This record gives sequence, structure tokens and C-alpha cells, in this order.
Amino acid sequence: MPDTPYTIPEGGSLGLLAYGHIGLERWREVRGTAWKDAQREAVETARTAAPGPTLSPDMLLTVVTGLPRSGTSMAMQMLVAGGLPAFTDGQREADESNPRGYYEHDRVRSLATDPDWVPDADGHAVKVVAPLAVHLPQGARYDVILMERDVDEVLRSQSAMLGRSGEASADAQVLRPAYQRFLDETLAWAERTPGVRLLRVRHAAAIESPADVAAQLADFCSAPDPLDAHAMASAVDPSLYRERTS
Amino acid sequence: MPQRLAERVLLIGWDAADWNVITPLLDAGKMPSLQALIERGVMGNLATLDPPFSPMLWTSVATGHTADRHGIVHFVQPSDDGTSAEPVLGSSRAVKALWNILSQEGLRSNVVGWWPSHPAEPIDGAMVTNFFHPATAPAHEAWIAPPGTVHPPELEAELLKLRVHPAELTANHVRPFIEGLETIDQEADPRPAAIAKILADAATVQAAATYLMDTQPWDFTAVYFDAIDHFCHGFMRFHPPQMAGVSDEDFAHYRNVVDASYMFHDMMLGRLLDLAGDDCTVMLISDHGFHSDHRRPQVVPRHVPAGAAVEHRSFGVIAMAGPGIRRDERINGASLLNIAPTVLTLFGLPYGADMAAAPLVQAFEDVPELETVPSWESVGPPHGSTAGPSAADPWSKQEAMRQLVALGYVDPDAVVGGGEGAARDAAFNLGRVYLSTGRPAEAIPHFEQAYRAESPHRDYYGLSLVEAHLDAGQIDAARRLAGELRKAETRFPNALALLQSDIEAAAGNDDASLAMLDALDVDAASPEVRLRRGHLLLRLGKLEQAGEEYAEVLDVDPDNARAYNGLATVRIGQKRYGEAADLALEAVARLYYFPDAHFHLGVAMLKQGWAERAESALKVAVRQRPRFALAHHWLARIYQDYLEDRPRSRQHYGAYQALTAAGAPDNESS
Repeated sequence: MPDTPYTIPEGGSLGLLAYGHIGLERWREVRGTAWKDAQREAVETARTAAPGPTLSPDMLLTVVTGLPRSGTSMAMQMLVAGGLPAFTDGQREADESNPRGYYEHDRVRSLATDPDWVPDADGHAVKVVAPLAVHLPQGARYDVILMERDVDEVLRSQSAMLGRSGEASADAQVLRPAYQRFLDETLAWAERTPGVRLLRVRHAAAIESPADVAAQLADFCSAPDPLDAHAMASAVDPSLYRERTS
Repeated sequence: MPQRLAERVLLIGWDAADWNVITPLLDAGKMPSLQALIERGVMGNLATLDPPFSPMLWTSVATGHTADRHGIVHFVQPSDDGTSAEPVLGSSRAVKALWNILSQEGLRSNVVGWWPSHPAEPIDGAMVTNFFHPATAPAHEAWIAPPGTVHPPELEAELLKLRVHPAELTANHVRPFIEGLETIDQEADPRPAAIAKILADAATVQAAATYLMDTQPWDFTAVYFDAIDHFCHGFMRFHPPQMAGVSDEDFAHYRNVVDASYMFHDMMLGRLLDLAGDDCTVMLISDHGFHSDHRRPQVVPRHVPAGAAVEHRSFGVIAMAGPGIRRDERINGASLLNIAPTVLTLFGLPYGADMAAAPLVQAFEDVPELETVPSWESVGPPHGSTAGPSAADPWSKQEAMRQLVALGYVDPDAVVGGGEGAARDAAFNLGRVYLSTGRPAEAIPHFEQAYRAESPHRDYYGLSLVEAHLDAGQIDAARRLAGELRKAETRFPNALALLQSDIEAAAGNDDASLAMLDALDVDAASPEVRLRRGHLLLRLGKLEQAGEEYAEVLDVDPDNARAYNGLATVRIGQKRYGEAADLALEAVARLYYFPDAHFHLGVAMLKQGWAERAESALKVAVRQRPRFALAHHWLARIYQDYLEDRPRSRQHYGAYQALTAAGAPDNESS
């Protein structure tokens, strides 16, 4: 024990802090409100000066999302065939995994840390994989097409794609729940975020009934010029559906 | 359905609170609120869990599960976008917490500051998360609460007004903590500001808690303060007596910080108790203690993961009072895992049979009616529907993000470089959980994951891997790995040498093991060395000498459960069964998850003719370690010879035979 022990005064200001919300309010009455006013002003300033790209509700992006290898490139092909321009830089070339191309833009891969490109994609179809879609900044309108495919098919397809470049896939037991979580979070984001409309499209349905799905997409998209559903249906190549479950 | 025993329950968490600091303050009349609570209730030690890391521990408190079940395995987790490690979130919890269970049973909760609890869960009641109180912004700059800090959102505006920023405090607030504040150059010495920060954070938690208790209807309030732990990590080295290496000037300024922090908490406790009222059952607990005496480390290791935890003591505190709770008595054998089942019992709810421990029946005047459900996870809505949208394992998500990088869909610069070290530490922590709960085989793959990766801590992880191999009876593997570590010039040669001595002992080479201990380049009086010497001497039949070793350990470390257990074993060997039972009880009072000590308690009880008490202790031993062959054998004997329960006798004898045939160790290890 200390030689000269302290006594924390019950009636002092420390006692008021310990007393909780009522004590705190009393302390602030005694002290005045200058500190609080400065804080409030700073908060307001920060709120009005939020960083990020300048967006407006006039902007419309048609976003194709989903797990990689769930038909996102196919959906992009359909939209492009229907008349919607794709936001792509052409850097990632077609290969054995995606013989008709990826329809990607390199900057999209950094969406989580750099969303400044979003205004540039106004009026375009843009492919954003599921874990990244939740990072789309608020302020613009988004028509979101979520491609859904059996997760085991997705995993097999990813494994085959990695295999072609000599890499091994991570454990399916680990990936399965995480992928499900990505999809759940995308759905929850779409539901709660102002300006987002969502259409869920089953990959198998697009293969089996491309005309029906094309009509659905054309009906959903709110781009000013109507999409050509017939051309969209023709863009589907069922022979590329290789990791079928049954 | 059992009877509801408590009108309301207030659960207060004081991280790192320790009786060794509290007791002198109580004696000096400086914690009157806690004194009053103790006088009208029970008090005791609360055994911590391994590893003693607070987010894991407080989640065990709230769930009744060990970390392998509840899923909070580290201080951090991979961030949502995989770019870095971020503070662990409550949404990563894999099972229901008390507030989820109470919500689905129609009871309202206030939860304030619980670590981890962010983002706020949509419970019946109010939740203010652990992201609410830390003052993250400099003075006069925007201090914006992260989204999801308060539930329900309509309370947010009012609660945000109650946050206390350190800059709002004055010298009067910190003067009770610091002597001679006026003589400190605060430009050069950041410690007064650090004290103000901790104090402001605690005041924020208190203000939010009192506001909710005062304005919202509630059945259960859980409020958690991290301040004592923060004060202790920062200032325990200045606590009297003056440690070597602490300057006279620093000692003079900061020697009262720890005491003052407890006294401040006592003042806050007084207000919480007033608001709770006499009909409320109150539980005040801490997750671990904090060394405040000669066991304070001279140096806190920064070269091992979470090295600061070396300052933690194995025992936290529990004080509990309310209608139907025994008065002015001590309780023994309580652990963090008992808290959730006890709270459920107070509300007349069954506890989960899958929870890791049972209610603290010893705290009640009359043994309460107990009921279980197989698991609360299968009662009511599944976890996640009450916890928000993102209840899932963040580590698997990180792995998935890596896969997406490999596939070319996500920018590698945005992912790689964050969280690998944290992932290794998380695997290591999970291994420690399995190892400390008698599941070494399950620990091994996790330690392997940590050890096999490139890391500056490989040798540290490797020690636990050796220990796990040893506990799993894989002596050759343990020996091989120990050799590997020795060859790689481990930074921990003495710890490795102790393990190598253990390996020889496990292989039956007792004399060789003893010789290795004698040749060690460490202080022969170290408790770790003495415990091992005691164990070996015991096995060599040198009871007197073994007893001396254990007694010496207790002189240095009066809370050493392994020493009590060792001494109990000696007394059994000397046929001094009464003393043996007392010593085994002392061991389990300090470390409840200790199958060997429960076994020795059972043996000592039976030797005194108390078959039912022996049965009870031995049942705990086999529950804690199902493959405990010898405990099954003794249970078979008790049912056969004393309790006339042949079917059970056959059942345990069968287990004993199967285990010994399978090569399970048939003797205890200590």
C-alpha cells in the first residue's frame, strides 16, 4: 500500500463521472458546452466532407455479380449482345477458361480500396465479383444481376481453372461457407442500399432457357435504350457449361 | 420448466480484476461498494481459460462454450475485404450468446461494451458495442461512431451524447491517479494522457450503462469495463513494492494508478448497484487476474504473440449476491465457463448440455432445480438470424479471398500482406484451447498449421506442438520435433529442455529425465523445474522428497494448482487421505478443468469411505477427460463394491478395458 494513500473525493468531479449519465450531464453543466459545440461542429464538417467519387442518381450502372465461375461472363456477353456497352479495358484476354472473354476492367478489382472509377462506368454493364459488390459507393443507381450457380459446380470450375495455370484450389470445406457468406452479404447489401435493384438469375436456367432469361434481363434493365432479347439469347453457348452437377 | 430465481440479473465484467489487489483495498475500507456486495453474497476465484486472451474469454463467459465452439480465437480477424487484420467482431461468434437466448425466450437485455460485440445485434433490448467507447479521434475533431454501434438505432443519438472524450477531462479527474501531476512535463511524458484516455473510455461505458438501466426496461444487463486491464498493463510495474528498474521519480508519480483505478471502479459499481436495486441478482466477474506481487515479470516479452498476457494471473474474481444466493461465503471451483449456465439458471431456463460447464450450484442457498436442453443452437431461431447477417468464420472468408486473388478476380495488392500472421496466431490459439481441454490430438493440426508456415514465431509454436504430441502419447514425434527445434537453435532453450525432460519421463526414463532437469541451465528453484522434479520423484517412490518439491512451489506460488495436486498425490501415497482430499480440493478450486486433481479427490474420498463424493469427483474426471482409463477403473470399483450399480460398473470397466487395449495411458499425468 502507498505510504500516503489517496482518497478519491466522492463529491468531486471524478465521483460525477462514476455516477454515469446523470453525473456526466451535471459535470457538463458546470463546465459549459464549449467542448461539445466544437465537437458537434467537427462531426458536421466531417459528414459533409465525406471522401469518395462524386455520384448522382442520374448515373446508372448495370452490375453483373456472383461468385467467379457462376456465369458472370456469360451474363456480360448477353448484355453486350443486347446493346449495352461493357465497362472493360480488354486487359484480360480470352483463354481456355473463358473462350469468349472475361469482360472485366482491372480497376474493378481494387473497388474495395479505390472506387473512383465508378462514374466512368455510368451507362455500362460492369462485372464485379460478389465479395466486391458491397463496396460499390452509394449515390448512383445500380441494376444488379446476381448470377447463382450450384456452389460445388463453382468450386469444380475454379479448381479446373486454377489447375490450368498449375495452381491448387483451397479446401472446398473452407471455401463453401465463405462463398455462401459472400452471397448472403451481397443480398443483404442489395436489400438495404438505396438505389440498388436486384435480379437473381440461375446459371442453369440461362443455359436451359436462354430466351426466357434474356427476356427477363431485358425487362429488368432500366437502361434508356431497350435491349435486344433475341440477340441476348443467341449469345449463350451451352457447350461451355462444363462442370455440371448431374 | 425450472423456477425463475432472479427478478433481474446484472452481470458486470472488470477485465483483469484480481483479489490480490482488491483485498488490501477492502481491508482499508477503500472499496465500500464491493465490500457491501461481498457481505450479502458469495465470493471466490474464477479460473481463467487457456490462452488467457480477453475477447476469447469474454465470449466464453457470454456463451458457456470454449473458443473452439464459439469461434472467437484471436484479438483480430481478417478485415472484410481481406486487406488487413481488424479488431475481432462479435459477428464472428458462431454460437448464441446469453442475450440471443434471452431474446428468444422473451427477456430483454442491455449489453454495453462487451468484447467483442460489434456490430450491434438486433436483440430484444439494447446493445452498445465495444466500438462505442474508445475515443478514436483527437480532441475537437470528428469522433464518428462506426455504423452498427448502437441497437436500436433510435437510441443512438442520445447515447452518442454520453461519450466522454479524454480532452473533456481536467486535472481534477486524473489527480487521484497521479502524484505530483503539476511536476510532470506532459509534452515528454505521455502517461497522464494515457490515464485520461482509459478513464474517459470507462466513463463512457458507465454513462451508457446507467442510461440504459435507468431508461429502458430490462431483465438482464451485461456491462463490461476494460479499464482495469489497461491500467494494469500500463502501470502495474509502478505498483508497490517498487520493482527493480523503476525509477524513484516514476514510482512516486504512478504508484497509485492501479489502486485508484480499482477505487474508481468501486464508485461506478456503487451507482450500478443503486440502479439495479435489491431485488436484482448481481454477478461481478473478471476474466483473469493480474500479477501484482513478486510474480510481476521484469520484462514483458514482445517477441512472442500476445506476449503481454504473461502479466495475467490464472484467477479472476467472482462476487455474486441477490435473492436466494448464499451470504458472506466463499465458493470454490468456479470458472468462466460456469457463468452462462448460471445466468440461465437464475432466469429459470435450462442450460445447454453442450455447454462446457454447469451452473454454480454452490452459490445458491438451496440447490436449484436444473434442467438442460441438448443445445441452445437447436432451440428457437438459428444463430445468425439474431446476430445479424454476417455470422461466419472470417478465417475461411480470408482463405476464399486468397482463392479469388489466385483466380485473378481481386487485386492481390488489396489482399496479400494482411492477416497471415494473425491467421497463424489464430491457429495457435485454437490449438491451445484443444490442448488445455484435454484434446491434444485435435490440437496437433492447428499447431502444425502455425509451425509449418514461415514465421518469426515458429520455434514458439513448435514448443506447443511438442507438448501436444507428448500429451497425445506420440513420444517419437515429440522427440523428433524437439530435436528439430534444438537444431534450429530455438530462442527458448530452457523451455525446450523442460519438454525434453518430459519426453524422457513419458518414455519411462525417469532417471534420465531427472538427470536432464539437474543439468538444466535454469534456476533450480523455478516452479516449472520443481514441479517436474516432484513428479519424477513421486514416480520413483521418493514421496518425502517429492512432497518437499511441491511445498517449495507453493511457497513461491500459493495458487499453483499443479503443486496442490502433486502434494495430494504424495499424501495418497502416504495414506494421509484427509489431507490428500483437502489438497485436491485446493487444486480444483484453482483450476477446475483438471481431471487428475478430480481423480485424486475421488481416490482420497473413497479411501475415507465417502463413496458418493468419490463417485461425483471421478465422474468429473472422466467428463473432463473421457479417455481417462484409471478413472473409469475406479468408478467401476465404486459401482461394484459400494453403490451396487452393476450395469454402471460394467459400463466403466468396459471403458477401462477398451482404453487400455487401445493403448490409452492408464495412469494420470500431472
